[in-house]
Formats: sequence, structure tokens, C-alpha cells
Amino acid sequence: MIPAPDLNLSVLLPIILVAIGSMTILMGEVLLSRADTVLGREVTESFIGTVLAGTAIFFFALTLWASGVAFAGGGVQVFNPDNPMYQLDPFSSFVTAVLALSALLSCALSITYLSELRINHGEYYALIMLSASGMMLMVAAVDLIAVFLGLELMSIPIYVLAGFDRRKLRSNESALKYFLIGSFASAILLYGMALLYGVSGGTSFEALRAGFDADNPMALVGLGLVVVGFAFKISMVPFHQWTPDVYEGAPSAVTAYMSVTVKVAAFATLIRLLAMAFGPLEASLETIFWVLSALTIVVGNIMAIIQENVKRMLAYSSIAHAGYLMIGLVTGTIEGYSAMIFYLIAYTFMNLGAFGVVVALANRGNDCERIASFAGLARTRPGLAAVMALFMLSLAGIPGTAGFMGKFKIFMAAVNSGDIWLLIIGVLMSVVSVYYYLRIPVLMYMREPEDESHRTEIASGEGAVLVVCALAVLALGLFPNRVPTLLFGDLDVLDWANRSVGMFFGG
Amino acid sequence: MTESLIFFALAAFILLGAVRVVASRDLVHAVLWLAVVLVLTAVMFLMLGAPFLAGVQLLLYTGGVITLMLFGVMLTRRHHEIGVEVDSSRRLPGALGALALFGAMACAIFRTDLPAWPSSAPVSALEIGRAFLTDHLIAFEVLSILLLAAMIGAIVLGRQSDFGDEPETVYRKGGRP
Repeated sequence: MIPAPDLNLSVLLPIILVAIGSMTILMGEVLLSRADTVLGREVTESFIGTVLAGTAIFFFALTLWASGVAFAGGGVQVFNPDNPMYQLDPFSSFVTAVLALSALLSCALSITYLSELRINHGEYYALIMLSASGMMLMVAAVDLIAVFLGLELMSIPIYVLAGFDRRKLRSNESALKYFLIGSFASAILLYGMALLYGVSGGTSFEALRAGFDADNPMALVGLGLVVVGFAFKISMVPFHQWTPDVYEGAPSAVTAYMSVTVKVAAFATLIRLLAMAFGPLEASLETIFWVLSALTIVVGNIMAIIQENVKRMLAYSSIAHAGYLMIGLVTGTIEGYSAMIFYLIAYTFMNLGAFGVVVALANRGNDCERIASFAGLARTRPGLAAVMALFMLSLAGIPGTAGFMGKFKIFMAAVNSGDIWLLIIGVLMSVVSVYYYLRIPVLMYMREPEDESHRTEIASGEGAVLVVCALAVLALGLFPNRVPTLLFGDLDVLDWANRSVGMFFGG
Repeated sequence: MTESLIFFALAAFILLGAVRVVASRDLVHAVLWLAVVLVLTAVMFLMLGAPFLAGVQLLLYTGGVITLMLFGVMLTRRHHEIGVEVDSSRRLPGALGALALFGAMACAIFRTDLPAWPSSAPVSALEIGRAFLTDHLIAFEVLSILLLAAMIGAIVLGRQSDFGDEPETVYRKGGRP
């Protein structure tokens, strides 16, 4: 008889909710397709898709609520005290809430886009939920095994989602490319984990910390390989080549989802890994991060200038933003980490918004991709043009927007830990980025419309997402420490970011 | 002494097989070489005192994965005419890069004084099963979700119905379109 372990199932609530949601959707699709007599109406594919999207949104909202409650409660709870692989703490519940919110918004954004492409299948939402459950596992993992499983559970559904529009060659290419490079990255990550296990004799972060010795060459190689594995996921230069092709080929709604959530999950996991398993960064590793960060900022911004395709331009811009985020890793201070978390939230809203506009302009599955096709949009679609201009200003980091506040916090952290050169590179490249970001508002407001066949009306889901993102970008930029909401009073996002990473520094 | 001799012989054959997998022009040959690599890896597991893992490796990979891959290759029409293009102009730089990486990592590993972990007795299937349901319960459960995700993904990518040109499917009585 095996003694039953002392398990704490309630800790798993966010993941369980999301996983149950995905299975509900799978079952629901089968049941709904036979429900025409019960419902007393014709059951069409897009009707089923819309109902299932609603289900996904409902479960993500539940997850958001559950992790919000856990965050408010504070404290650290582990799933299994004998072998804590998964840990619910302020950091994991906060990041889980951010992930749930962005997945919710992505689902709302996808409905009409997918219906127009006639691929509004339930599997889409099921895959989104499965990958979200992987991310939530990964950000709460305190064991290398759980990190790896979470990473795979996050990635495999996204490989499929990238190729979800199977009739388009480029979508297939995107899926295959992402799959090959992703599996390669996973193998490198796994090799690094094996070396770390060999050095420390355990896979838990605690054992790694006890056994990690920075003078040990094998430990450094292991840590390096793990960082390279993550570098592929967050598209850090020089591991970024897949990003533009994958972002361009995947359906825009999928690109919106993966450009935001994968980055949040991978960066959060990296923060936890570095803070919990390796303690304060060693000088040698800090130098490597410094070089990678500078390279990523420079290459991302320079390459973005010459793009003529909006999705490719946003892909390079997301690389550049990964570079800014890495400044937080270089500092390794509580200030740097909390700035990263705040930046990730800001990035979530502005990037999701920018891709949301691209999605809302897609006409019958023809993506509005050329930058030139934004010409005169202010004349034909004034509302969309206004929010797009706002997101571009925010991505460029103009004061008054969330993007500025995020960059300000990150640069402040760099100054306070003495990385003046990184600050100079960051600011210079932000100035460069203004050029390519502002091209779109200039085209929208100062050129005559071309003969472009944009969609002429906006779907309610898309509209809601764009409004939420635009308001969030403004609110986080103007008063980040007291975001006014009607329902919950003022929200202090800066304080939340501080509290979530505070636990790594004994706070 | 004999043990390390066997180890190096095994390792050499595994490496040789792995190179053949990526260098073969014929897909069937590549798959068969992969089978060699996987069987030898199972022997490696045996040497490390993990008979259960060795069995699983044989059953799952050689018995399952390789057979499926062979079926896949055979069922793909005219596979022998396709002839995989393996030569490329980047062969030399690629080989040099791989050698440099190998050298750096081998150097790092040899310069490390590895702690002497006590060599463990062969792990029984009973212990592995117990670990799955106690210490590694969460990994065990997540793996099942992962397999579900992979299965859904394979079905989505293999579906034919997206290619039709007819107007939107309307489900009537009994769920038949």
C-alpha cells in the first residue's frame, strides 16, 4: 500500500480551470453539432465557433478571478510538500492573471477573423487553452521537469495554431519552421538541464541553488544552454531568425496571441529561474546578458526600419522590445525585475492592440499586410486609425502612454545599477524606432486612401478588445499607480509588479 | 575496464548511426539507422542500471515510433524517387561550428570535478510507478494533457474538410453536415 501523499489540489486551480475549459470546448463542439432540434435553430459552423469562443472566454475569466484572489491572499503554497514542483505564490498568480487576461482578449479577437476565413473550429480555442495551461504551469514551476513540461505544453499547440489556416502555403511554412526551430531549442534546453542535474544531483530549484557553483565549468555550460533554449522562445538576437517568418505566415489572430503570451511566460520563467535557482547573477553571465541585450535592441530596431509588411515590422519590433526587457535581467535587482513585469503588461496591451487593428482590417481572410495599405485610413476608418496611432505611439515610447512608462522604469533600473551604456543604446534606438512606428500614423493621416479592400465594419469582439487595450495603454501611461476602474476602485499596477517579484528578495 | 570499453564502443556506434540518419539520401535507410541508434540507447540504459527504461525505450521507440515512421514513409507514394537532398554548400562551416561547440563543451566537462554520486541499484518498475503517483504526480498528469494537445494538433493538421470550396457547413439532424 502506497501512503497517499499530502496533496494540495486547490493550488492547481488556475491550470485545472483552463484544462477543464479546453475539454469542455472539445466536447461542446461535438454536442452542439447535433443540437439543432434542441436549440430549434440551424446550427452553423460559425455559430458553434462563437459559442465555444464564449466558453473559452468564460473559463479564462474564471482563471483570472482565481489567480487574482490568490494574489490578493499572498503567501506561498506548494502542491506536494514532499517534492514541490509547482508553487502558487504572488509571482506565479500575478503572471497567471496577466496570461489569462491576454488569452481572453485573444479569443475575443479571433472570432470574426476565423469565421471570415471559415476556420472557426472549436479546436482553435481548445489549443489556445491548452497552451495557456502550459504557460501557467511553466511560470509557477520550481522544478526543471515542470519547466520543461510546461514549455512543451505551451509550444506544441502554438506550432499547430501557426499552421491553422491550412489552405495558405505561408501558414504551413510558418508552422513547420516554428516546429523545427522550436524542437531544436527544446533539445538544447533539455541538454542544459541534464548538465545542471549532473552538477547538482537534483532537478528542483532548491537543489540547483545548493549545488550551483559558478567556478564549475559544466554548471556554466548547463546554465548557458538553458538560457539559449529560452532565448529562442523570446527571440533574442542571434536566435531570432525564425520570428519574422513565423509571425508573418501565421494567421494574424494567432500572431497576436503568441507574440504576447509566449514572451510573458518565457520572461517570467527566466526571472524565476535566475532568481530562485542561481541567486544573484555572476559577473560573467551579466556580461553575456549585456551583450545579448544590446545586440537584440540594435538588430531589432534596425531591421524593423526596412520592412514593408506590417506583421514583419511588428515581429522585428517585438524583438527590439525583448531587448529592452533583457535590460531588467542584466540589472538583476528587484527594481529591474519589477520593471520587467510592468513592461510585460504594457507590452501585452500595446502589441495585442496593434495586431488587433491588423486583424480588424483583414477582409475575408486577406490580411491587410502592406504598410502602404494603411494610407488614408483616417478618412475611411477614423476609429481604427486613432487607436492604431495610439498603439504605435506607445510602442515607440512617447510620454503619456504605457510604453513610455515601461521604458522609463527599465531605464531607471539600468541607471541605478550603473549600466549607463545600456541606457544610452536603449534611448538612441528608441529614437530610431520612432521613425518606423510613426510611418503608419503619418500614412493614415496625411495620405489619400488607396484602393484597398478593408473590411468596412468592426465586429463587437474586436471592438471590445481594441477599446480595452487602448484604455489600458492610456491608463498605464498616465497613472500607473492608480489605474481607475469603475468596478474595483483604483488599481496600483506598479505596486503589484513590485510585490510579485518581492518574494525573490525576501519581501 | 570492460565496462568503459563497452561504453565507448556503444557510444561510437550510436554516433555513427546518428550521422547516418542525417546523411542518408534514402528515407527508409535513415529510419533504419534511427532504429539502430534507439536500440543501442536502450542498451546504454541497461548499462546504467535502468532495465525498465531500457524496456520502455525498446517497446515505444523501436516498436512503436520506428514502425509508424516506416509505415509513413512506405505509404507516401514514390518515396524512393524523392531522394533527399543532403549535400549543401554549408557543410564545411556547419561541421566546423559543430566541432568547435563540441570541443568547448568537452573541455568544460573534462575540467569539472564531478561529485561522486553513489551508483544506485537498478530501479524497479514498482519504484517508478510509485514515483509517478506520488512525487511526480503533477508531471504525470501534465504529460497526459500534453499528449492530448499533440493528438488534437495532429488531427487539426490532418483534416481534409478545410479544403472544400462549398459554402459554410450547416449541421442538421444527427450531426451530419
